[in-house]
Amino acid sequence: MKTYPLAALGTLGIILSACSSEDAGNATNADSLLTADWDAIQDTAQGQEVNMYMWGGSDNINNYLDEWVAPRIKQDYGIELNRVPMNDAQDIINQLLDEKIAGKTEGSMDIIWINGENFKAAKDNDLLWGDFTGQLPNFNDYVDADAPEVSEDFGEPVEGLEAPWGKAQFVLVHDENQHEDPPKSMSELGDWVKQNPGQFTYPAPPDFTGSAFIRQVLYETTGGHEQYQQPAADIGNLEERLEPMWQYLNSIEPYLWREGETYPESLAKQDQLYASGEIAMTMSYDPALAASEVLKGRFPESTRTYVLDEGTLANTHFLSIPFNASDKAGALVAINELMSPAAQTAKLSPENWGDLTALDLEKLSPEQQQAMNEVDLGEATLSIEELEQNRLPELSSDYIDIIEEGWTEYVAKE
Amino acid sequence: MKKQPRFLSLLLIIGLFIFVLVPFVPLVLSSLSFGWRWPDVFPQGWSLRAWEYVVNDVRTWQAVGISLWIALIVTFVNLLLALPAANALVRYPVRGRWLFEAIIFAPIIIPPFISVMGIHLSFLRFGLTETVLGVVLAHIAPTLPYMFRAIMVSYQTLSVDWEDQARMLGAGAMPRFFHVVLPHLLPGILAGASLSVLISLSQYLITFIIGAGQVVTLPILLFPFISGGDPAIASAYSLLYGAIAIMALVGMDAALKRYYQMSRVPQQEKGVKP
Amino acid sequence: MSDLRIIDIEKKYRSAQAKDEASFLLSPVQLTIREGEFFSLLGPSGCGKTTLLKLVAGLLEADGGELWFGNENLSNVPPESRKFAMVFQQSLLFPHKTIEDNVAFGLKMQKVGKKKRLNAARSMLDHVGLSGFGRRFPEELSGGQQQRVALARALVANPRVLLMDEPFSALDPSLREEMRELLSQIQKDFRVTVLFVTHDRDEAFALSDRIAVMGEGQLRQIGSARQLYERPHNTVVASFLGLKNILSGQVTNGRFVSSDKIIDASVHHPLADGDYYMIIRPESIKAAAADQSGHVSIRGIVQEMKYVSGSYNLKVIAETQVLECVLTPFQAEQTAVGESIDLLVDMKEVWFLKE
Ligand SMILES: Nc1ncnc2c1ncn2[C@@H]1O[C@H](COP(=O)(O)OP(=O)(O)OP(=O)(O)O)[C@@H](O)[C@H]1O
Ligand SMILES: [Mg+2]
Repeated sequence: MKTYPLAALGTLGIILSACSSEDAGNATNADSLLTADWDAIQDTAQGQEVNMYMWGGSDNINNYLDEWVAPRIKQDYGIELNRVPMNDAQDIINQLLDEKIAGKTEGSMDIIWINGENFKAAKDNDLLWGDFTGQLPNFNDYVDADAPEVSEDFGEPVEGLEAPWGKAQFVLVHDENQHEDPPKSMSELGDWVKQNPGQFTYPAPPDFTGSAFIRQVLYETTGGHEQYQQPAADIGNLEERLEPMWQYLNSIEPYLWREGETYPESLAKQDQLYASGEIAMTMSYDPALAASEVLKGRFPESTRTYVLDEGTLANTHFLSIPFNASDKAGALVAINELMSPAAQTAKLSPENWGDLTALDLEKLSPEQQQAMNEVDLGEATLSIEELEQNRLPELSSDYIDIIEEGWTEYVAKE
Repeated sequence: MKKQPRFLSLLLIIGLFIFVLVPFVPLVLSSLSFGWRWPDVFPQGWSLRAWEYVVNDVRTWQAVGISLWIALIVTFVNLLLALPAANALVRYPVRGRWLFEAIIFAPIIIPPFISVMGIHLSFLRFGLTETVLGVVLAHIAPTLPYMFRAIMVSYQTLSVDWEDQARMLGAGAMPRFFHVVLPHLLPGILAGASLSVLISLSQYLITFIIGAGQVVTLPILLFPFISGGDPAIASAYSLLYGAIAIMALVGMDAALKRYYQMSRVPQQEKGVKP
Repeated sequence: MSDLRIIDIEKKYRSAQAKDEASFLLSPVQLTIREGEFFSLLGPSGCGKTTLLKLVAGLLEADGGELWFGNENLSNVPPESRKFAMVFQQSLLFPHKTIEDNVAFGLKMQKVGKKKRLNAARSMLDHVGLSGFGRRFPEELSGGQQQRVALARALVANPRVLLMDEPFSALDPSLREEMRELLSQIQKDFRVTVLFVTHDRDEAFALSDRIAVMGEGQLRQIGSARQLYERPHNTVVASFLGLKNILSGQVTNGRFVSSDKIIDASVHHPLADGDYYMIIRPESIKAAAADQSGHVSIRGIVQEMKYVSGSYNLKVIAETQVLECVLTPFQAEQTAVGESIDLLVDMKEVWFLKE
């Protein structure tokens, strides 16, 4: 009796911490898949079970994968596609980091859905398998590999580590019946806000969409996006350059919802204000989201989306393969299939998901193009062409940090 | 005079009922709503979309099964650990007992995911991640304290005289445990087991980190919808979750009642009155 | 030749706070309890009766000494294997078992078949006057009935020794009386050896063949009720047994003179000179003025009169000494509180103690 239980606990702790296996670099012959020919890859993939780790908070997206994609992949390639629901892509990266430290070579994640910060973190920590996109027939045939939205992910060179799956673009949302002629530039918005006090606001950063709105302001009030295609550290007078943006945001503040004293803490909150008619406009980084909110009855039917005359931010989301994926061949085949014109067309339909295609429309055959164009995006959503013609590239994450901190200091506090 | 307390207790029961049920009303409405804008008291329309999604997804039912299975094993293991520990701590003057108690109760005070992040690496090395066994082990930390506490309190109310009496009638250690100790501890065990089951059922982060997506419990399915802003599906999952939890509790309670009834059958045929 | 022999068993309780200092010490006990004997441990609260009983039961571990039953050494036998039985102050019936199952418990532990043990239980319940109660649960019985069940449960497996720790002290007096008779009867019927603990003198006197008077962890005196009452070894035993008339004084040349000088009389027994205590039993004091041979007369004032079933208990104060005496109602009617009274003490019935 006495102190034995304590001693036992202590011993267990020591055993647990002492057992650290050192064998990490177990380079498998999987790397040969990066050079093998596609038929060989398909043969290897046959019968594999591919786990796809992705955010699981949308019934539409989940159903698209479970009911549209998975059965087709099973039938055509004999691959079992198993969707694993995640709460946040960040969790995927943390998980992989631990697996790397622990030297786990046979991981469960075969495909992961990431972009932006998470991609950068994964790339910096060598969590991704390798330059695999060149192996995918659908990537080679239908994607413009040199387009900036494919070769870079929030300013980070992609280097074939991830394959584009779809695109998102910033849009503004308004109710056609209330305001026929919404402001299409930041200067128009400035006037509009003064004429309609209390009718506009934006989610406080670090909300993703609110932060994007501020970047939008940055582009328009400081003279375009081109100057920011270099690392933030390389711009000597960055603070001076950002000054007009803070001025603009402060000038509209008194005319915002609740006189700018508070901002909605999330887009969901702002959408609620819009849905209840308390404000006249909201915004979204998903051009089809408003249409789906209309379908769910949350937004009024006269809701419409639009882009600014000078264009809006766009980004791409990608699929990647972790360093320790157990079924890499299956992952390659599945990703290739997810990028096929048929899968991308289905994905475009709001009934399934409403996500913009990652493919280059001009590389599709006329029939394939037609199929895409015939998808009814819903009245609230803009056409693919209109969106495509008004894309602006995203900023890299070093800028995003500077802007979010600056907003707190120069706008929220004053 | 006599009526008043009855009336009062009825009122109290009704009050309690409302208190318990009211939070469910918005959940039910939201899970069935189509277009429910904020200032409206009731939704404008109804839709089964959320329930169709939840009920038709095979994952939902697999998750229910796995959640219950894990909760059951966790509770069983807790019982095996807590019984001797509580016995020793209550009955014998263990030196450093405060330290022992502190270790057992620490997971209630320290957020368990902090320690779980720590053991994640060890579990990875032992190959315990992505397994039900690993998740079960991880669930023990946040649940054991409650089981332990409940059993300890029960033990404290069991006077040694009962066991001494059984001893004097010739009962060895095992019969003493089953005839005297266990019946006395049962209500406490039930309380501890209920908490253990509920807490195990509600673990998200620990399950997520150790299960790494391969052990899919109900919270794993539910959480993305809460943070992703689909209130209808989140509500439907929450209701399902609540129903499972209540069923588990009612089930355990019924099992206990059955046990007592079984050991009390003679009461039904209580015959001769002197 | 199945006596229970307690040989130098001792026990020290250590207090939780002060180190080393024992909070209670049970001095080595030497005691033989004969087969079939009803033996009582009598003593004030906290004197160690329960401790000694539990040592015999094996529920407490002795610091030293041995316990023998016949020629079997039980010192290292666990309590469940000693084939003793014990009845506690509370009935301690298992609440989730029926009365029958409670009584049959001991036999069940001996792996006796169900039918057989239930029959035995029922006949034992008959013995304690509870036939027909077998299917009830403990909570459905009165306190007295519960204690009867406890007794039946202890006896059903034919224990070699029945240990009882103040089994009736929680009952009201008339019920206690009834239970004593029942116990007495049963003890005779079953010829079981009983070791009985009580702090109630009358109870011990009524039941026991022999009694050990305990005080402060020691056995003070062992003997039959009469031996103890009439020939206590010392004043502590005497006063515990209710002999309150203790007069200190000196014997010189065959005469005893009390310190307060209220008594000056010749002693019947040959006693060496020295300091003595004189013990006067209340019953040996009479109310009478006239001198009789061999009697000493004491004059005092009645301080208190109490009527107790058929006689009066009086407290009389003579100088500083309080004397208790028992008078018939007729004698008592002659006096009243506050009046003076003449008492006669028969010197043949007094008893002298050195300590
Ligand atoms: N577990 C223990 N630890 C320390 N001291 C104890 C313990 N149990 C009893 N004692 C002390 O030992 C002494 C004797 O206790 P015991 O129970 O034997 O008394 P008792 O004669 O049975 O008294 P009562 O008539 O009140 O039951 C008491 O002073 C008590 O305080
Ligand atoms: Mg006692």
